[in-house]
Amino acid sequence: MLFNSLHYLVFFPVVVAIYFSIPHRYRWILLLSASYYFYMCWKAEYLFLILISTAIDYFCGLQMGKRVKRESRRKFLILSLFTNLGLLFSFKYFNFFNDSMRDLFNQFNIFYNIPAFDVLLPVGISFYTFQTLSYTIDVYRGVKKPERHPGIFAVYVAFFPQLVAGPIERSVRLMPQFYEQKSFDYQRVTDGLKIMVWGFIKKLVIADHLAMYVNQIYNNPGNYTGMPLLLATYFFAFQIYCDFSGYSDIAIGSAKVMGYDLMQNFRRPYFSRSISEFWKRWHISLSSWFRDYLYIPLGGNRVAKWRWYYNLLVVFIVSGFWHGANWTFLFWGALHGSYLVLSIITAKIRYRIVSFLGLVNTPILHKVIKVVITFHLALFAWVFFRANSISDAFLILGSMFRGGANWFKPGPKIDGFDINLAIISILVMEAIQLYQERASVLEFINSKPVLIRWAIYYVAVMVILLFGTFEEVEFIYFQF
Amino acid sequence: MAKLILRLSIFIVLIVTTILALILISPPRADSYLMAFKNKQKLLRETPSPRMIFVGGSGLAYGLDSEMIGSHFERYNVINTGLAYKIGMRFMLENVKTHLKPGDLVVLIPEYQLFYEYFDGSITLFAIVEIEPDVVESISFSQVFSMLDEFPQYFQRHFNFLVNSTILNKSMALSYEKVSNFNRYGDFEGHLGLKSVDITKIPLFAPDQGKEFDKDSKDYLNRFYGDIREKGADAVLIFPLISGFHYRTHKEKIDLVYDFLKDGLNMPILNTPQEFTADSRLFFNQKYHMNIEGRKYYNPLIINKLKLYLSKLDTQPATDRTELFIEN
Repeated sequence: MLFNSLHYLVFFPVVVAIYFSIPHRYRWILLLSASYYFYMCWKAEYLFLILISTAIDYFCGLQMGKRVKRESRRKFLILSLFTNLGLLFSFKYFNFFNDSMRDLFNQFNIFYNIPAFDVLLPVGISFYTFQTLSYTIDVYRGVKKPERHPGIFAVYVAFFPQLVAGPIERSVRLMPQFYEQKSFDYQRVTDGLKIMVWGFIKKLVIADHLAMYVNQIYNNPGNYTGMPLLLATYFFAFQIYCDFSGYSDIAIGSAKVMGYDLMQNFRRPYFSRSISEFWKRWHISLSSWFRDYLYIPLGGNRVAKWRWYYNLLVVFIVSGFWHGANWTFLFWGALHGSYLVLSIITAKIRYRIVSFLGLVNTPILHKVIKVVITFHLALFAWVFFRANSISDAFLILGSMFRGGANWFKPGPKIDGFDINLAIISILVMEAIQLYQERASVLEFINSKPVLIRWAIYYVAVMVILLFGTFEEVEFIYFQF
Repeated sequence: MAKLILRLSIFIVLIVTTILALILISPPRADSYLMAFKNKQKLLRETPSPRMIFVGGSGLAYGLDSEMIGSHFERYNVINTGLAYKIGMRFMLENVKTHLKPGDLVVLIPEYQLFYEYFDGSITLFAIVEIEPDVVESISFSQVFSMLDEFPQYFQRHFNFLVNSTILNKSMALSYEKVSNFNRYGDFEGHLGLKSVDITKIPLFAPDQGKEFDKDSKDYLNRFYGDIREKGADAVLIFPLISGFHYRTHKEKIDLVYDFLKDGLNMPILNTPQEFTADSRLFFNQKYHMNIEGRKYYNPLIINKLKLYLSKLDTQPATDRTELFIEN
């Protein structure tokens, strides 16, 4: 089930109404049934993968809880890792490795005949696998006590607002919330609805509209040179941001309506002044997951310099690979890792340049320059993320500034796509985000008289209805 | 909770009122292409039986020469109900069914999309209901549901029309797509003599089409056929004329339709998809729209198939109608 479907528009109010009508002790049953139904609407058979992960991790958690010594707990951690990563590998990465091996063997004319695993990628597998793994690792480390209630644990794994595309929650944050008795709180419910509406604007009005142009150009890169390629790349930067952060907002808003606080997943990443800041603002739940469960165990920055660089590269390459079984994602991850390594290596030189140019005396200009450079570094990397292949990415980059007098030749005419609407919507969103850097938009709205508040809600809903794209376009991160 | 429900209800009423107001202040243009539906309904109501009623989408509107067909089948009064495939096959047939009389022959020439996403119709059906509200009786619950899903798109069309016609003073429709360009049988003639485009640049199935094959379509067609046989009417199916280029590039999806139907459809099928293919230069501006030469090529093909069918029917009335299935 997609958030941007009529189905969800019926499903969600029904779940909320029942949720607040039944006693607290039965709510986990409702949430679990609703979550499984939500997932089964996509492909019922794949629920068994969630059930396997849930059963194994519940069992491993309990067994680890019974053992004091880390060594005796380790085998259960390994069982959990093996099961979850095994499923992830089989469904997401097997064909990639298989195809790569076939290509390699073919290069040497060696017969290779392992058939492809012809299955659909289960939606959200990377998200719930990482969520449930964080639980077993935390129990192993002694950070979290094992969960004894199988129902609560199952809800934690499959909680529908964040099941298929995050935020990837930690058990220490989310699980205790299922024990708290949530009573109906008008302010909380309406705040949740407002966050959802903002998410729908980002997804339906901005992301899906930009997608029309981006898909046309990026799926046929050989047909274009010059401005259309550059424009499509800029548009993609905002498309992916609005698509994913829009999903997160709808998820956070949906959970908030029922009384649950999910973690913030985006904090206006395109206002970052460095790539390291970008990763503290982009897909926060994933980057903090990698920080806690991969980067720090590798030694983090408390190691020799070369090892630190190695750690950064490994984390970002794995992060790229998490996004998808394609060389384009690996390259994208490696690029971000390289940015970080280079930023450390060049820190002193950059400081000297800034001092020489006198930018330290003009902090606002300095900040703007840093934001612009960081945005364009991220933009360059997005080309590899979005392109269908590495060769397409290089073709796009190579053709982007070619074209001579034809450089300004407009892109394709696409039914339903309005470039003015696309640019205006991005500018309005960025203006709102700029305000959000200083203060809360939600508080701003709540502080206004009822008539103004209603006028804002009215305009927001009408903007969705009038300018939204209603073809139930899947969220980009569903494929991960 | 009561406070929230009350406020949400007021807010929803406010939004719905705005939507309805926007729809009401931008009624369908009196000369629009779809307004021809009104005239076609009148033909269905008033033309005496026996009638040869052609059912399909815009391929029929643009391609059929009812006068030529009528001259070969003098027994029948010809009616062309073809308008737009996005209305959906279920509605097209349900609507025709309400007007059928003994002796009528329904000639279904469905675009291939009608066996995929468009079996139940799309937002175009909203426009039809707006033009002729009575036809809402021919719409099933499942269609209502899929229509609700598309309501925002319908509303957006109204809004765009309003902005374009009043603020920008711009027409969204093609200048020749007018109701006045339909002849008295329901054939569209506004394009005849206009310059054709290269239709090989337009795929037969758009990127969002041809993904979900509608397996209910055959059961529905069999039910429809049973119902009209009881009424003393008859029906046949003819696959539409498409370009050879489109046939080759979408063979899999087209053959899927044919293979699915030929096995178990009670309604006689008079041709194979491959038989009804032609040079792409015979098409006007869309995959199913024929130009003047295309019409000259297409109509004799239909006439021959119908003649063959009707002559077999006259000489050997069959109890099992599928015996009349003609495969070349």
